[in-house]
Amino acid sequence: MIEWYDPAGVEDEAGFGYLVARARAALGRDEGGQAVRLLVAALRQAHVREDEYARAAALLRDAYAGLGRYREALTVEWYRTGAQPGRAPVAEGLLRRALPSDQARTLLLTGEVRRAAEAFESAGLLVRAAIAFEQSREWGQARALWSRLAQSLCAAPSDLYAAALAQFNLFRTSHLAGDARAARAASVAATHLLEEAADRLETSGLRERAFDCYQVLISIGRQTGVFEHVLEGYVNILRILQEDHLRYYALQTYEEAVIAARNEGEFVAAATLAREMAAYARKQGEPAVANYATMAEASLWQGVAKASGERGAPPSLVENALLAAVASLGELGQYRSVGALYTRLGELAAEERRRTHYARAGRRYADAHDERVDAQPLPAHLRHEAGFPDVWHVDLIEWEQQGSAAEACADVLLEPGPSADVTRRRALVGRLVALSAEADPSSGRAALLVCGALEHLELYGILAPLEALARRPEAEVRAAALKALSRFLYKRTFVTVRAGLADESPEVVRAATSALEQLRFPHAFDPLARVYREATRPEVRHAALRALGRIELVEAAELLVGVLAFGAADDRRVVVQTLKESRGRVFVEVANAALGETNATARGAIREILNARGIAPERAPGGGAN
Amino acid sequence: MPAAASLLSDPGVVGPLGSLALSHVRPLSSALALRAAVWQRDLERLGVVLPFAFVHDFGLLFAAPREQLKIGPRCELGPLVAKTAGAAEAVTAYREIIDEVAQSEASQRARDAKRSDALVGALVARLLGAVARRVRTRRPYATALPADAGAFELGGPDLVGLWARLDRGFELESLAALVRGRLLVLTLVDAVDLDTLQLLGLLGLGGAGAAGGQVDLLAALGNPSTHDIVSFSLEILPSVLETKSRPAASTFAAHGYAGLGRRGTVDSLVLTELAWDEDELVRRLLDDEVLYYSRDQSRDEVRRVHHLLIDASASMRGERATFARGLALATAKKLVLAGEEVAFRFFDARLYELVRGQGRELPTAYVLSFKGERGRNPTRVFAALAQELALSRRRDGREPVVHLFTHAAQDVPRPLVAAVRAEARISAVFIAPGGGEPDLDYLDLLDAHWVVSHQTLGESAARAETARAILGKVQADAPAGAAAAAGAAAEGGAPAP
Repeated sequence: MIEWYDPAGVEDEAGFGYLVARARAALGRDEGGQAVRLLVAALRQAHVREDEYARAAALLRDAYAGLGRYREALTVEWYRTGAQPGRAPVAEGLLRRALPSDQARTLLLTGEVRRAAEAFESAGLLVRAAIAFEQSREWGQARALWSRLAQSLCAAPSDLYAAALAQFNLFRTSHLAGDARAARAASVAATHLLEEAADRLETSGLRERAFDCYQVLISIGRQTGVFEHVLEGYVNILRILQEDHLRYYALQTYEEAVIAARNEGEFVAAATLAREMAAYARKQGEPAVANYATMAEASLWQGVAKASGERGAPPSLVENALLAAVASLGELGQYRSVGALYTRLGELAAEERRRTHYARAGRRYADAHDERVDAQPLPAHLRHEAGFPDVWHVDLIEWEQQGSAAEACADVLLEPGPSADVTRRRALVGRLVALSAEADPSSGRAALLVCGALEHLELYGILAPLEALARRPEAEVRAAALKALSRFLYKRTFVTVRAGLADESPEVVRAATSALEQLRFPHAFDPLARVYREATRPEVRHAALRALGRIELVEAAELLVGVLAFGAADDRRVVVQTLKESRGRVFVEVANAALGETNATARGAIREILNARGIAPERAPGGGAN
Repeated sequence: MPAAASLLSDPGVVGPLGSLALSHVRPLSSALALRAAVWQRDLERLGVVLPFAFVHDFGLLFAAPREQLKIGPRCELGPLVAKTAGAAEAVTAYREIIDEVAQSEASQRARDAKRSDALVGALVARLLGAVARRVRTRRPYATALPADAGAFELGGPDLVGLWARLDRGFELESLAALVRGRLLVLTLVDAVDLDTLQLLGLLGLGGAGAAGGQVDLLAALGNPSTHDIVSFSLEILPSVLETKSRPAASTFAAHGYAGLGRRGTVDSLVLTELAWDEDELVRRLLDDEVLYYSRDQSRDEVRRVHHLLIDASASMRGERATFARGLALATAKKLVLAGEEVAFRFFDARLYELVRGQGRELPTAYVLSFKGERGRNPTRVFAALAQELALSRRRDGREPVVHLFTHAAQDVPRPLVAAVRAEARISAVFIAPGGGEPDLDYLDLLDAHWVVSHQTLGESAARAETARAILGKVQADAPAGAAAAAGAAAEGGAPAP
């Protein structure tokens, strides 16, 4: 029945109302297949009014039911009930005829979680079943399922990350079930697996997956009370965020890490984190945040001194902490406060020599004042509101779904959050196409239609099905999957694109090269630079350079200046052409700064670019711009 | 002897030497001035570009005792700076700053400790780095100071002449930046931790002269946690420094005879050996049965290599790192004084390169400043360690001893600990701020271990006592009291029975 979903068979410009009217007529003639074809074509038009769309959807549900296609009918029903406030119960007739997995999803939709868990279990979907048992607070049942899963995954851990997540879930549910011993064993196993998985993932360039590992490590640390795990998680997450140039996210995470350490009484760790935050913020051109962090650092060192004093620590510890605070306050010109600290130090020091030294130093600041500094935390509008997702559930669900487009679309369709109507509608059509395609897994044509249906969803959850499609034997499908992936602006996309660049089929390589050029977003810098450095084909290097030329990042601009100075002639031509057409300012600043230092070739190219954009080169020290 | 005329036509020489017109410190020995050229080179390696006069003056104040210096202006700069608004006042302010720095404790105590060029360079970079960052004017010359002490003995008129031969915008802007940052510089000078300098002098810098070593030194001086590590190390070092080499038999022709041995030279052969008939003597020689007189003070062979394995993962942040590194340094010093060979090795998700002590010099700055770059992966690290230990043991035959410094949540898979234990003795110090017995399944495989709690870390007497207890067990013959403490742990430091 895959032909129902081929958009090529329906008039290109036909309006929504026209298609629905024709579908009604087809139904009147008992031509269910034709009606489905017309209605699916109508429902692809995701921007129509909801009442019209819902009526058409109801018609499609009935058409499917009339054809005995109950999975599809239920899918349409999910859209309809999900779209209504309060989520009305799904028709019992459809539910009875559905597959256990679809029944389970429907039961979740209607709030019957316990029954949903049992249905998932009978469908063999252990992850889904365990999560549903957790939702119904049946920890013992959930734990048994996680244990089964963990055992099977750890027996031959080809996927360390999934095994780690299963162990983590086993730890959580054992803990909640009151089995401390099992919880401890599971937490140790999960920690080992996570550490190893993170290491391997980072080595293979999958930093975002390593990020998830560290996030889980933080959760383990919080739930076991082992602060070393929390620290390990935070510091590595910060490292990854910085390497990915996600500066606001990094700064926000720094704040969270400092607070977490302070709340645990780990003032020294908190102070060192605040110090790193200040240095990072300053480097990123956020002086107010840097000053705020330095103030926090000074305050934390004073906290260290206070806590050390209270627990009878050696005077040298108190002294060192206060001296660290002095250095921080000095950096901000808070000299009156520095003077006050020296007075305290003078009172504290045990040796006469030290007391004299501090007294003399303190006198220097007698008339000093604290300079006014702009010290602000990261503004609210630059913060990420969403916390970390429950990756220990989400990623295991993805693992269990094995790249099924139908299941991934169902997740979007049934997402309890405020998914935009347009997204849900695209997911509806995507699932309908995918259900048909997955019924005939050998059909290349069906797979092609799935690629087209998924292309506009652009959600992270849709990556797995596209990755699976990009591994299919048909070159045409692989190319279509890569074309679709060019709209998915995630670092994970590069894994598939890089594989495509090495494909045996020229068609696939072309699609991957074209996709590469579209993947231009700040944290794409590293993978793009890596592709540029490693590519042997000129067209691949050029695509990477064109993408890099549209990234507003100092590192990208510096790389391009390097290409202008030392790159091959054809690479230089591509960079010049790309930057002439660009509107970015970062390259202009970097290029102006480089004029005095780079070679004549690069100077000429920079002048050509700036001239084409109507920008006068700044005169560099030593007359380099001349 | 003044510099050759040919040199004085080189902007790389004229630039820095001419800047000495600003100088307010004069060494009484020209060899001292030559040291300033080394500091200048070191600063430039670190990316801190400053007028040579600043490096020269500040460096001398921290490197040389006062009686070897003369503090005061070298020449009258007035006419040369008159054209630049505020320059004359800045020169006066600079001289006042130098006078204040000269009064500081760090400068006054320069005589107490021999400070190496690498250390002085890093110290000046730490104190003046912020000033250098504020200077926007590019220096119009690359420094090429001559290795000729005479070149630094220029008189006032010469300096004025050299100053006038180049555009001095860079020097004047640097001067203005220094004067503006006066309080910051003086704050940093007052906050210089003399104990750190003392420790670096005591334990050595172990290769800090190299570019990487300079970076380590600067990082160590700028890291507030260094002070704590140093304080802790100095608390326990006195007991360490009592360590002496163990007397043992050797073949060196020094001191008296200590006994008989199977190795030696002809001149120490026991004469009665010559009473054997020729064939029997040859057999005894071939079978190493010949007896020699042997001497004490063994230095000819180190039978063990001690690997100080320090956790550098993020889990060690805070007081864990302080105690671990301080104790590792003290342990290394103790072992070195006992004639053992030591090598430091950091790990996070990787086992980093082995950094050996050079004779009695320890790579102190490296240990103080090392920062992990990755996550944590004990499985990989201990697998790699076991493999390397097996290889090295096969190659040089010496017995490896592993001293592990880590946190109390360090879950290493038991089979891997067993694999390492098959190649080497292992002791471990677990730093556990929360206290309590670590719940680790491999403790019984260790030759000894200790748990150090937050309470121990925080209490003056307890923490030094703990450290001494641990160090007391670090014998040359066995790691951390292996026989006495196998499989036992005790919070507070002593291995439990």
